[in-house]
Amino acid sequence: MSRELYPNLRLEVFPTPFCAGCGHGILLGAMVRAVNEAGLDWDRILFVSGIGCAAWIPSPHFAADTLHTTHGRPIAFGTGALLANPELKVVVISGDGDLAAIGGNHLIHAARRNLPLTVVCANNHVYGMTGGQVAPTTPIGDCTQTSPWGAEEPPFDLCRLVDGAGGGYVARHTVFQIWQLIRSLTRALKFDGFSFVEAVSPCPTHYGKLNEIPTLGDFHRRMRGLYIDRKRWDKLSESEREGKVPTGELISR
Amino acid sequence: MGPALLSIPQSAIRNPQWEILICGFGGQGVLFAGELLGRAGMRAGMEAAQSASYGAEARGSACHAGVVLSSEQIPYPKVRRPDLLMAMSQAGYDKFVPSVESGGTVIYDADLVKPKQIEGIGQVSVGATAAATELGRRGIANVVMVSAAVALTGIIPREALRQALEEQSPSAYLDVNLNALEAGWKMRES
Amino acid sequence: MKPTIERVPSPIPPGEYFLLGDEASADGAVAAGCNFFAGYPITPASELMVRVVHRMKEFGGTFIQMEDEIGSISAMIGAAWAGARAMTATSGPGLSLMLEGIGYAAMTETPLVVVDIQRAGPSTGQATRPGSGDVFQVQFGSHSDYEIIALAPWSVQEIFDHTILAFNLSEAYRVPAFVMADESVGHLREKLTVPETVERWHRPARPGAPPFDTDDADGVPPMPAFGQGERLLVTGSTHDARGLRKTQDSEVHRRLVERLVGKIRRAADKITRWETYNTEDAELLFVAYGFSARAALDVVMELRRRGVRAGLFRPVTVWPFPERALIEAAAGAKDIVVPEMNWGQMTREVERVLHRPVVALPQVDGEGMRPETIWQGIREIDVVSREGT
Repeated sequence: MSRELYPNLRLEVFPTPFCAGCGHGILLGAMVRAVNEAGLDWDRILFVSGIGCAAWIPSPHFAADTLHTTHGRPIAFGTGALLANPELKVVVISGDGDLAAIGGNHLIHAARRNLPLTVVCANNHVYGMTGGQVAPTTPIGDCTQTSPWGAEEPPFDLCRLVDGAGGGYVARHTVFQIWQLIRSLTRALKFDGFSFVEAVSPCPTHYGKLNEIPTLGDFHRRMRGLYIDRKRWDKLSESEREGKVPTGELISR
Repeated sequence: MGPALLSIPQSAIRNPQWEILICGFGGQGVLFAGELLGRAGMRAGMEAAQSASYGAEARGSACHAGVVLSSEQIPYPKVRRPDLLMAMSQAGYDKFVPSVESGGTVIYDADLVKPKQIEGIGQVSVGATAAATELGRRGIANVVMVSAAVALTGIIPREALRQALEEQSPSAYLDVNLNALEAGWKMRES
Repeated sequence: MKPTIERVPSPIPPGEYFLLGDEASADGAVAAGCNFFAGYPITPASELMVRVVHRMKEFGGTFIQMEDEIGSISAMIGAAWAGARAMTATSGPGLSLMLEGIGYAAMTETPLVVVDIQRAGPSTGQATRPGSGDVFQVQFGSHSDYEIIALAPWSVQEIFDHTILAFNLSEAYRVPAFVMADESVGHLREKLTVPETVERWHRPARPGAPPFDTDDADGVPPMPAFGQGERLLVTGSTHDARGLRKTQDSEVHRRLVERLVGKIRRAADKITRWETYNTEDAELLFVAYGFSARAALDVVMELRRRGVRAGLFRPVTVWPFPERALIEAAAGAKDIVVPEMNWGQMTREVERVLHRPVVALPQVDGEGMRPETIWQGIREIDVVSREGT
């Protein structure tokens, strides 16, 4: 952990509980940098998270107000806090299961309302904290504890979901695209309206193990082939896009 | 028929309390009428409670409002055996007439209800719909009805009814409602 | 930590109004200083929400209609921690969804007010008809151990007063507080007298003090808000005094749960409220709350006229249940009768407290409790032979 981040962390609670190779630590650092980059006051920012590994990114690590809620509800909690005190910058950081499955309804309605709320989804395509079960984001064919022969249901594209629901700012990056990720997070934090950043994060422990991606390096190689920056994506043919996912700043309106 | 025919029900003597039921169908302003009567009672210094039938909020379905007026605290606020039934529909009349307290009174809209012969209760016909139509707005028959009933029974002073109507009426309808009150009150003399 | 008590001029102009119970509750909320309402439409509580929309505009509070009741209660908790006085109104089906948030609010000691206009259940039941079957749900609906406060108004005046009191008690003890009305009161129109001034209780601030434990005898720690530089840790998981998660520490867990329960149980004598009518010499004692108590009072008055020594004990707080007062009121009674609009929920509580059999008079036909139901029920208790004795 870089020393420049120390003032904004509760150092006494480190090290983080994240497994070796987990991408959430990278997102943790990127988030702190983005908050500082955006020039936000750490006394006026509220981090809200739900239940799951990603919910532990802000709580208790960030030296700010943190609200660790029930499963799936951080956006609703955050909406209330924001409306009660519009001076607060409210940032939700949670996982794909939390935000897209149990909390999916709150996500689309928050996007529809377009309140100045920033939602960051650490998407590792799996329920990590409970041991690795299938998520609404698990790609078809990938194995989890509850899809041991490969996931059969089509996954959500969270960015398209939020776009369709009316969210004003939408971006996606893998945690390996670190500088782009920090830039998008910064813009999201400064955006006047609902902003959503999907941070694709590796989970070697529960997801990688069952899909022959055992290490962070293996994830890096795989993601580099699957997640294509928008500038390149725009030039790809329909057939070349098959099975791939665009990244970058996708919507800003 | 004049007020002399309207005897105060026995129950009201035993217990200084009026139980009044207004029945009709959705869209006639039955609830408005119930509220008006209760509010007028309150403005006249009585204890007042108004309850209503709640169904799906559809026009045309049967509905009723109950009003209890008393000089004392009202323990049970719902109407059990009305001393006064105000009927603005045949269905409501047929349903509630058997529950009217012996010695009680039924006031019905002449255009909407065909009364039955019933022993032991007084029945008065009021041309509420006709009067409202004459005033150019059928929708104020409810106010005519309440006004006539109050005038005929003398439960509430006219001034209190007027004050209640002024409070409760949307300002755009106040004039026409006051005309309805006037028309209803006149029925005492007819 | 004792709340400071402020007496403010009523923001609702003092005077006499002819209002629905639902509307009176909305006005009570404004009088109590409520400045945040999150809700979801549900019969028979919608009239309350609709009035709140206008009142919030008039008095400068925030209203939001959420996507469901889970969203409503969640938004309220977020708002409460951002410094708001938060409230919602619902009915059984909505309350069922809110229980997740009720448990969270109890665990995080978040003050908030839920007005429950009870209707006939279970499930969707009869949406426009009264019931009082949420007695146990408000206290035990969410999993595991916690305490709440629940008031049961029986009139339009009382639903106004109770809404104010619920805010104050909720602030004073940092617990969710319920106004457990029912459709018969929510849709009843009666006189409401709005007083010149109203009491508002506030938790005194103690900057820097731990928000989740205290050495104060009452067990209620001070509560700061987000955005004050306190850098708070709020979590529904087991936490220490500062809010740090301690999900493997049995001592922290024991201490926390004991305090969550204890702060209410120890203060029960201060919180509980009840009323008695002719109980001093009552041989036949009715125990009834909410609308049912009005039918019971009607019967008691008539029985007295006939010379039967009947009385009524009315729990005003259903939770904490006024145990001590009931034991006292029931001491001389030969028969205890509990009429209620459910299949004997409070009957169980009365039996538990009195350690003796009581007569349950359930009326579950989706109608407000009728005096006739009670008359029919007590026929078997040989009341007639006591007439004139």
